[in-house]
Amino acid sequence: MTAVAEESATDDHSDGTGRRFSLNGGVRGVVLTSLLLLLLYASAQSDQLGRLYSISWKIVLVVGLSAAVFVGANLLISQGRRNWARYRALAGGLLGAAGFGLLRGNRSVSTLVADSEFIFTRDEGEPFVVVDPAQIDAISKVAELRSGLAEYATGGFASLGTFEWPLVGLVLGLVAGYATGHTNRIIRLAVPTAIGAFAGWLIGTSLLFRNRPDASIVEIVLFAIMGAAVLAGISLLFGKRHVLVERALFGAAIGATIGGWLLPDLGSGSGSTAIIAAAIPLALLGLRFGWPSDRDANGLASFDRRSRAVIFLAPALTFLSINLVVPAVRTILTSFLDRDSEEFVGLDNYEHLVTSETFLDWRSWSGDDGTWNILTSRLTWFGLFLIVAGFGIAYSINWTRNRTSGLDHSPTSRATMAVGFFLLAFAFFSVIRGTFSNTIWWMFTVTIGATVLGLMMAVLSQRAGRWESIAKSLVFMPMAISMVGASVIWRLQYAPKNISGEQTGAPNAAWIALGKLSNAGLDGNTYPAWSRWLLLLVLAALLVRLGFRIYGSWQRSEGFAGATVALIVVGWLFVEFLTRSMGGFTVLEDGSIQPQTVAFREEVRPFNNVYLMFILIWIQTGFAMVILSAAIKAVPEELLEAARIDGASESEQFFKVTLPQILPTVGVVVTAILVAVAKVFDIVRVSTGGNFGTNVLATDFFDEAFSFLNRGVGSAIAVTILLIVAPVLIFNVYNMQKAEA
Amino acid sequence: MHDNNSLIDRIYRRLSNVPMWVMWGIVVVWTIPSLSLFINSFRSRTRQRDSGFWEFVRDGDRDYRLGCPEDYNAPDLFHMIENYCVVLSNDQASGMLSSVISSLAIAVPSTIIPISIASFAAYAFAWIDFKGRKPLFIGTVALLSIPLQVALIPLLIMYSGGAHFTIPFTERTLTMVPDFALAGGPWAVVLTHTGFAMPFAIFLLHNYMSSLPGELIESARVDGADHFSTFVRLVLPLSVPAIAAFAIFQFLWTWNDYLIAVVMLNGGTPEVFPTTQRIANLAGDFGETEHLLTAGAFVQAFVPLVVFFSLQRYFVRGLLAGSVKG
Repeated sequence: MTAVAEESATDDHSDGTGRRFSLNGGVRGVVLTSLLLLLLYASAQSDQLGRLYSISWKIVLVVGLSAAVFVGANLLISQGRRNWARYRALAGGLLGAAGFGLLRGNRSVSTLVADSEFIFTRDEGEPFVVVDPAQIDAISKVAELRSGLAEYATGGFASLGTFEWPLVGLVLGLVAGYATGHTNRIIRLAVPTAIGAFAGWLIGTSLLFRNRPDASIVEIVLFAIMGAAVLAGISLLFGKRHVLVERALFGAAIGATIGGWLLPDLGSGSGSTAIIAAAIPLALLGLRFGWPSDRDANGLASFDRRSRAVIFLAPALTFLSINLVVPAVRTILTSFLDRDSEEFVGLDNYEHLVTSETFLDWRSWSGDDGTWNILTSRLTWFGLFLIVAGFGIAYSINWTRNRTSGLDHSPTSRATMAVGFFLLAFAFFSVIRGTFSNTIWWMFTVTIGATVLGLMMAVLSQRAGRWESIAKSLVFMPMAISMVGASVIWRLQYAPKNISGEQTGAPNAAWIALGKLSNAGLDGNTYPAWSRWLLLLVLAALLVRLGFRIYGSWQRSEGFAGATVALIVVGWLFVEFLTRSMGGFTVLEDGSIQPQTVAFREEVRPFNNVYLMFILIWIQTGFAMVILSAAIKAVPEELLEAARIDGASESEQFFKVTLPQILPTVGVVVTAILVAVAKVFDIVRVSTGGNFGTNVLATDFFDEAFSFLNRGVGSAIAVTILLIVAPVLIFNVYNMQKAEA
Repeated sequence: MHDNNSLIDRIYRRLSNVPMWVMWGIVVVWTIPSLSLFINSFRSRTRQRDSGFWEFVRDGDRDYRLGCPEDYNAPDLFHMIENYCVVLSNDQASGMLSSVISSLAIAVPSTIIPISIASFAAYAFAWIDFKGRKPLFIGTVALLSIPLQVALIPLLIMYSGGAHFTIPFTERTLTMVPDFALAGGPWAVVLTHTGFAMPFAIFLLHNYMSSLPGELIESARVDGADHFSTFVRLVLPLSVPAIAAFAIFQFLWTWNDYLIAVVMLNGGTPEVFPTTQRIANLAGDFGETEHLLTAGAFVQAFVPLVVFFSLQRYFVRGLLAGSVKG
């Protein structure tokens, strides 16, 4: 993985596709500019200019603001190296504003107040005003009422509004921060502590009743001492004696917060307990930041490095955690909850999933008469035949070469066996239905299909000379087309039309043409009889030639995998045309003939799945080709040269030199495609909507989570997909660790 | 005589070159569907319905005038670009133009924002020495192959109602992310894309940035430049190739995305639907609009194809550098 990356980063020539086919700078500019003009023109024509404009300035605003925040944060850190106090003031101000804003944003502190009047609003109904303090006291003690109270306030500073709160925080933070950077130790200690206590008082007096903790000062102090002891102990343990006091103070602040806010009941406390619970931690925090003496140059440098790391990483890590890690964890948790995520149901969702017939459907496993369908499938027997034939070939090659019994490992025997196993797996997937089985079938087929075809293209296109880049670009092009677009494209190709008219899709048209050819000469068929005989003659000649070639290769102990494959294909074609059974064109019982179409997406169950898979193979082959092509071109020429001198044939060069060299890259391609296929959604959704037995896990997930609004089962399916790709994930991490070490 | 013989020889060798036949067979199969779409998009509804795209050579009676027709219902008169005229018009039922703008509103910020954010992080991972750098980087890269389905349900809940954290063992919930009511609008899609792009972008840019010569960066630091100016003045300009590679990759990815859009925009007005969603919906109603599907699908694919062919080299580089995203 990393090897490929580094290579491409430093070496332009490893690009898979030639440069001939990409446009040069000038043309590129003209094309992109005219595209923009076209968009503007079309928008103006249909009254969309306003929307385009508003979207544009929103994007500019967001990007500009974000950039300003990043640059501002960096300038702030740069300030730190020049003027410590000023940096501390700015940082403190921002922290104060953020903290007070957060309190206000959580509606913990209130605004509505008129001295001795208290305004109550309930979740439903009109707000009402209570003036009598005794009444307030009574109401605030009734638990049910209290929970229904949306907003009410006490006196004092609670009149501060949405903008005033952060502003006060800013001012307090500025002063406190500046003081922590002051050279006078008394100021450094006293001012921040005092301001912390003052901020606590401010919060405590303005806190809503429902948030007031029923804290006792003993508890707070106790926990503060415990917190101080814990953090002091940790810093001693790790040999950080020089920051012992700061750590202890910080621990005390955390302990006081726990003792003051997390343990006691909220809502039954009084104003004074709220003030104490808020003021003690904040004062301790102020003390902690005022404690350290001035930083020396060394300290400033390490401060700079650490803060830069935070600033550079914070946006990315924020997005990663908010948009990826936390939701993933939440999904895993909700998969154990019921459909509305309210009650814990254990493994019920998984049980529901695994036992449902849509997940794993064994109904096709045996037919009506109790026979196992897998045993009546032609695929099974052909697959088994190929496996046996592969063993036979391996044995006979070894015998002719070495005169010993044993198995040969040449591509001929291995390829035959591999195809046999592939067909056997296909037979298996075609009798076990259901979303899970389909997903695995997709992963199996698309991964193998795209990798093998991509490898073929990568190898063969090398011989195409000046046509190489064009051939590659054409195969690569579907990568740029969306899966939705690809599904639409193939839907138009797959759709069968009424047999009385012409077919508009290439596959059906070709299929019927083949049928006409194999039935040439019959009444009502426009194809003349000699066309079929000519074809049969050519096929027969090819068969004979291939037979001689294989025999000769065997005599000379050479590989003959390609010729064998060709022999099987040509032989099959010969038989099909000879028996008039090729193509979509049949002779009915009354002697008339009729074209037959294939409804690729609907009728040919379960193999309609394979036609959908082909759409993804169509997209992914280019990807595999480009990467494998780059890897093949990176194989040292000396190795191939040495093999040539040793008399290796071209296929031997490939299988014995090139393939082992590019095997790591093949692994990368395979894992990448596996992960992409596991979550395939668009193709199935657009092609069939999951009907006709084509549902996969990702479409099932969408239906459960967003159509049936069953979060529990939806999450369980998502976790299942995660489990399917988990091995790849672990493999990647393992590789990374090896590369980093 | 000798020349003649060698010509026949050459032809025979060409014909019996089975691997080349196989290769060109693949190329043809791979090209026909797109070609068919392109040609059919210029054909009238009846022609698309009644004959295959290869019959276009017989469509001789077409009106070749430029511009859109004034009367769409005039019989026997079909303008070559008529389907495009309908598709790019303001028509609510089949108009694609508003969705082209919506796709831009999603794809452009979803490309710019991750690039900036990830380039900061990639620089930090490559050149700032801090504790826990290695495990953090490996953890980030481990997220590469997380299927996005795993995060979709909570993300939709967050964008339509904010995120709230219940403090363990208490009844108290703390609002971590307020409800901005983003779901149903492009920013929910953009933010989701930004999150999902992050591991790949960091991985790709980090690989590139860490391959820059260390002496260069060290000498800048010795000259007194802090990390910010080293990043802005030195590393960022040098990383343009990798940034371009990722930009193209991400633009194609977001332009072509369907799942995130369909989840996040479910409750929105059709105007905010991106092209993929519009095409998927068009494909859903059979019959009436099927002849417009060709032009619509081509409009959808046109932007990525132009980007792809004009900037193919960067795209390939992006693929090669981080062949893990899919």
